[in-house]
Amino acid sequence: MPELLRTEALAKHFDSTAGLFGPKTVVRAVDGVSFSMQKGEVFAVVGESGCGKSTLARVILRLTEATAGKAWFDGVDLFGLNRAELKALRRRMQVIFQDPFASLNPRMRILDAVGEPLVIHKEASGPELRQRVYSLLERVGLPNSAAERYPHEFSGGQRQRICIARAMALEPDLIVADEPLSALDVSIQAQVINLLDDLRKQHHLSYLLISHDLHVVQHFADRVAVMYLGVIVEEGTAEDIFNAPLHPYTEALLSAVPEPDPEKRRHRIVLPGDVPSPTQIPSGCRFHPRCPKSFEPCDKVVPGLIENQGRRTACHLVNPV
Amino acid sequence: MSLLSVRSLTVHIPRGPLVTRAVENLSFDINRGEVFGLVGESGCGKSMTALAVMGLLPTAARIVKGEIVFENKNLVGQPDSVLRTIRGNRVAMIFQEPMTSLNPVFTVGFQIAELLMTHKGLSKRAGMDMAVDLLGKVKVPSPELRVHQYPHQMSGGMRQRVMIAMALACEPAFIIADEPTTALDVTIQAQILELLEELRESTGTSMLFITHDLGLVSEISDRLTVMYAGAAMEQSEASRVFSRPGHPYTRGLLDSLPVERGRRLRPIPGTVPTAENFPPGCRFSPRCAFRIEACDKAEPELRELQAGHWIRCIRAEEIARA
Repeated sequence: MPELLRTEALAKHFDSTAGLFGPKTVVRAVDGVSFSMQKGEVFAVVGESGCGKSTLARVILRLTEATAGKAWFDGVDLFGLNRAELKALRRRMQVIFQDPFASLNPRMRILDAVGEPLVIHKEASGPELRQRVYSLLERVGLPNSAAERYPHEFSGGQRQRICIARAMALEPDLIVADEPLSALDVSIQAQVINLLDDLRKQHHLSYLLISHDLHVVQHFADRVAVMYLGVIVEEGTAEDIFNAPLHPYTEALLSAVPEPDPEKRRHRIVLPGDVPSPTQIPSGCRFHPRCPKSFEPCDKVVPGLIENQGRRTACHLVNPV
Repeated sequence: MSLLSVRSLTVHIPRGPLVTRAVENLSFDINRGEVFGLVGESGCGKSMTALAVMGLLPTAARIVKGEIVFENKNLVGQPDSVLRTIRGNRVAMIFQEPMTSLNPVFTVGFQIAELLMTHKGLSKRAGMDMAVDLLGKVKVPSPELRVHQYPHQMSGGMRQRVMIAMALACEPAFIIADEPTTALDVTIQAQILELLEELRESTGTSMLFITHDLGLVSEISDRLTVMYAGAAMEQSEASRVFSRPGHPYTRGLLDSLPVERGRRLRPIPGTVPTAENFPPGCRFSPRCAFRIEACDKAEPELRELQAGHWIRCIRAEEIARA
């Protein structure tokens, strides 16, 4: 499969001040992320709050500018584009956000919300626009009558369908989905997963899925990158990661997910302490203060993300110094 | 002998000409030392049940029927002065969002001490000393320093530990935990679960554990009730609900869970009914894969199919065999 998206040592640092007059600190939200995703793939970035997964998505979408590093979309240097070129490229890269309540303008009819990308990119207007919106709504399982209504008249699941219809309007190649299911109840979440799966098959879509929900990722993703404090600690196929995690953080993360089926339960590994602040990143391996398996080189030597048999791991246990 | 007994609890919220049936005919008993789970999706009435038990229902909501018997006393209809001696003392509550349930302008130590001053008549100094002990008990590192901190100086996991310390302060007989880990990351959730399990072993406190997370409820509770649109759909031992779910809704929830890779999910079609479109007969029938004509005729009873396993479905026997 050809490559769709690649990043190299991507970084996003934010300046922040501790208190009103305190010293300047640097939040290293994304701190050197390199990965490559293929066309047609569902590539998931997982991790806990503050690991930098959403910032990574925003940098790739150029909703915020990268501090360092490079990214290519289908061979095009994403950070070398001028405004017009970026606008043209955005047709091929769309986004769905977590909160379907916040991402729809409450004063815009669904017709205008879903049709807006088509208007901006001068794809359709008038009766043709209406027809296009109808067909988009149909694709996400909503009736034509929805077009005349306002966001408040819809449930969370329906609003997320509307956001998906809007993201589909320009027939993109890539949809960046930042926690698209987190605000939804289980029974509705399953409807939306199936919808995303169908759209992917029908339209040869790729998804960059940002999620903290490991059940969803296990079910839906082809490849998974696990992030911790701004870096990828492990990456591989979903099978590899979920069946045989190599990094101690991945292992602990998977063991901590509550499992309804008593037979599938793993022994719960409880990590001590909290995730350190991204302003004070620990020396050596950034996971070492919480790692149950940390040993001598871990607090001194930064482990590289080393590839072996199609998966990458950043851990001294897996790749001895 | 059960510690808490909820009998036919019915809570209505009038909304103009309509009534939202927040909780309907809900009954359960919680024994001493038991963790009882209430699980369901948004709006199923699980949090309203907790608030009713605590006597903290929003002003619009009315308990129209039922009893809440705690330590042989019916709490329904008791004046607030009586409930206040029970709340935070005999019954404690842990809420979902520790940031909004802690007061931002007082130190966490003072907030714990205040409880002990109110309910146990301790002096402020004795209360603060006790707060240090309690923070140690819930494994807050360096409790003697943390006791002087404000909530915003702590992480979400730490704040939830403070909430648990507050809940434990008066050695309650019973704790209501309403989505206590929902705002936390999974590795922090694992820490809190471990703590709750240890405290349960050491104190023998009973717990009503409310969550939307099927995995979580099955790991932590002994018995549970699955709620849908205000009513109990299934009630049984936690292990049985997951190995042999009896109600089509429980089955639907489990089939909706993305647990197995590549398997097409079987979502429950449609959405939860609102006051405007509440169905006659079984409230789940419009979304049910097993619906027959009789389902729309009358509300099915909650029936005990096997000892301790209750199901609200007229076709439960057939479905169990299928």
